Amino acid sequence: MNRREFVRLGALLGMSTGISILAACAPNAPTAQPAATAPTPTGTLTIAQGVDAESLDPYVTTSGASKGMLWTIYDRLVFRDLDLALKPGLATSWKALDDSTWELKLRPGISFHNGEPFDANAVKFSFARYVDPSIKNGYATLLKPVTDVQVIDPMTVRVKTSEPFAELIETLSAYVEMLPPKAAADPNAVASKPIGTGPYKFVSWTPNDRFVVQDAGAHWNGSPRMQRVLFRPIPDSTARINELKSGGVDIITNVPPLEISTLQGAAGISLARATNAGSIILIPSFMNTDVFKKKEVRQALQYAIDKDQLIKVVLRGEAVPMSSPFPKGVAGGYVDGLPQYAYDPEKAKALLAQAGYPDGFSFNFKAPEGRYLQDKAVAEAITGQLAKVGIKAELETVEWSTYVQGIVGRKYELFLLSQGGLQVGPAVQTNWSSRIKGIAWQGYTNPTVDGLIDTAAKQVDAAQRVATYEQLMRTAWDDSPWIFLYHQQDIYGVGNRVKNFRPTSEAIVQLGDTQVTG
Amino acid sequence: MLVVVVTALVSLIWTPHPAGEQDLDRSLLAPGWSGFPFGTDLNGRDLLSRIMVGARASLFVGLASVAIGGLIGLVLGLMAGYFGGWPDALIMRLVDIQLSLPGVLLAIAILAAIGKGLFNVVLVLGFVSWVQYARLVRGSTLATRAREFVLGARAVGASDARIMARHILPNIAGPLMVVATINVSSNILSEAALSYLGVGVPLSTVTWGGMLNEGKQVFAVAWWNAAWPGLAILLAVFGTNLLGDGLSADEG
Repeated sequence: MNRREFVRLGALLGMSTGISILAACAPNAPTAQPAATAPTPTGTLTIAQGVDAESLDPYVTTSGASKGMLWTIYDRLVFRDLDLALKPGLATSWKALDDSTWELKLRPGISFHNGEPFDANAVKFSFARYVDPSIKNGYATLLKPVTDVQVIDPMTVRVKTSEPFAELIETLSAYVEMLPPKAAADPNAVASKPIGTGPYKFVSWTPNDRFVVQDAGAHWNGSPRMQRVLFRPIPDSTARINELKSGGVDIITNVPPLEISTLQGAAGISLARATNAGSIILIPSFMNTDVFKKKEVRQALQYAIDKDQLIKVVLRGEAVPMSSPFPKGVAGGYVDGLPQYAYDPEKAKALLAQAGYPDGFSFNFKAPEGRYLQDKAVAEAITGQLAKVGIKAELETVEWSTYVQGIVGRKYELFLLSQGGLQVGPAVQTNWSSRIKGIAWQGYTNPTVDGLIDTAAKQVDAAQRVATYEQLMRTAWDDSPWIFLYHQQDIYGVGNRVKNFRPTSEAIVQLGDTQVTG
Repeated sequence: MLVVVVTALVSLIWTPHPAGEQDLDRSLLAPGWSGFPFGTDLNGRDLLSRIMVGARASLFVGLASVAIGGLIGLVLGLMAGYFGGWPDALIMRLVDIQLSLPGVLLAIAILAAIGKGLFNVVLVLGFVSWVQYARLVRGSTLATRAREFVLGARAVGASDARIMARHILPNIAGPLMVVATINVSSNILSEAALSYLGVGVPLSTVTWGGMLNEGKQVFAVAWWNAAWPGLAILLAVFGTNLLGDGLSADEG
């Protein structure tokens, strides 16, 4: 496998893990800021993340870290604000004309940093490039139903779809950045000198060292607050923390819960938290094992794992137990009042006996290491808890890129992953539908679930769609295609020069109203 | 060193607690707590028990990898030194190639290719360390094969194999033992490094290097998690080196 394919594979899994990480939110500029208070941009903000961008091509990158970097430069047609509400971006309004046509009105008077105007042609070009096979966009399938983009006039486009595409607008808010048709005709130019319509313009990128953008002048969504913004990759968490303490950087991402104590009491440093929209779950294979085909066994696992204790001890309290397949606030994905799987080893044993495994069983359990908060220790603790009801899990941690291949290749028996996220449609399609057989699908087959997923995908009416998804959540919560665990807390360290920084549930750094002083 | 051997042996029949037994209710207990003299790790496992069990892996890797490396090095070194000519040239070029690659880096690369596992670690460390033995053996063999008793043996018609085994080997065994002993400690250290980096052994195998890695992650709240395996590695390596020095002094 060459590097390119490898990156793509990562991208695909990124999608499955993520729609969570990815599906978006976030404006790339201050939200709803009263124009009267717009200050002149001051200072340099430096942000240290655990990883660097894989590429500067927004249709090639997948990680939340690189989205945070690139969304300073690019705008999307629609975005989610820091409270996850969909807001008009480069499109000011939209409506469904019929079952297979969406019409979008574009924001007038916007130009790219190189002077090209933003208009309907830019939208048409961006959509075409998004699905261009030579770009190898891992998310290209998100726009699969789109058959044509018609330019009606410079500020109006019609998106034709092969079937009702209910979640077009949500999908556009996730990942479809708008590129300049002339400058972006050359793929190498996109990767080396990104040009967007965002509040900041590209200055330089030294891979594994720094990414620099600077104030691009007045912006439709509030002007930039900083003159320059720097992103630096610092993989080691202790090194990140030390940089923050020494004042070398202003904001750091991914503070491990066990290292929080080294930041407490450090002068001027505060912590910011956001509950991650990803759902940390165990995914059983319905292909490589027979045991997990039995609902009683899957439910037994739900009861046998003491989520509260995992969170309290191993995660030091930095997580929220799942109470629905998707986090609170996700329309259709979060259903209030589902019967909870409280820790009950006796019930787990009874269910196992009922399923024909009174003495338990054994299986191979895979987990990543260093990808999610305390992932290895969590997996080990789960192994210990399962042992108490007689289930023997043989745990192995796998390096991330190999892990992704194992999941996509459907080689595992049970594994730990983050799924869920803010957008229900793509997540359930990639995971639960035996008709679509998406990338994270592991053989789960339930006609009711399949039917609900298909129905919802075509329900353009949001209220109807949400109702269908809620029904789907009730079915899935009981049928347990996933073993539901928790939503982790993303923890940021913030230096005293920083004002108004707000983390989001997408683990993508967004500047919002963030300012620096001094 | 003796302490490590005894600990490893004792751990086969007895540890204070099962080394893999988790109990989240006793996470990160400090040393001295009743029943857990070394404290516990994040998952509530007894550190003393794990240190004891970890001694097995360290000893096994240290000894077995030296045996493998030593055997390969011995055979090739003997051949190179005894026969000279093209076997010598060939083997010594192999040695040069191997020496140009950093050992631990090579080990990481090979392990990434063949997969984790205690036995794989042993093989890899054996294969990356044969060079030292080969060079040593070749040098000693060169010096020994010109001596009168070897010439005498050859004069009475002894076979090459017999001469190597009966006349040369005993005379080079001393320095070989010294190098081997010192290598035991360096291989223990290498195994710890590999496990620390997470490329060594699977999770179910308790090693000091792996414990050190876990200890680092909780260092801010429970320093003893990193201290014990660190001390254990220090003791084992120091002890083995002392043993090697002792042998070396006897040799001299």
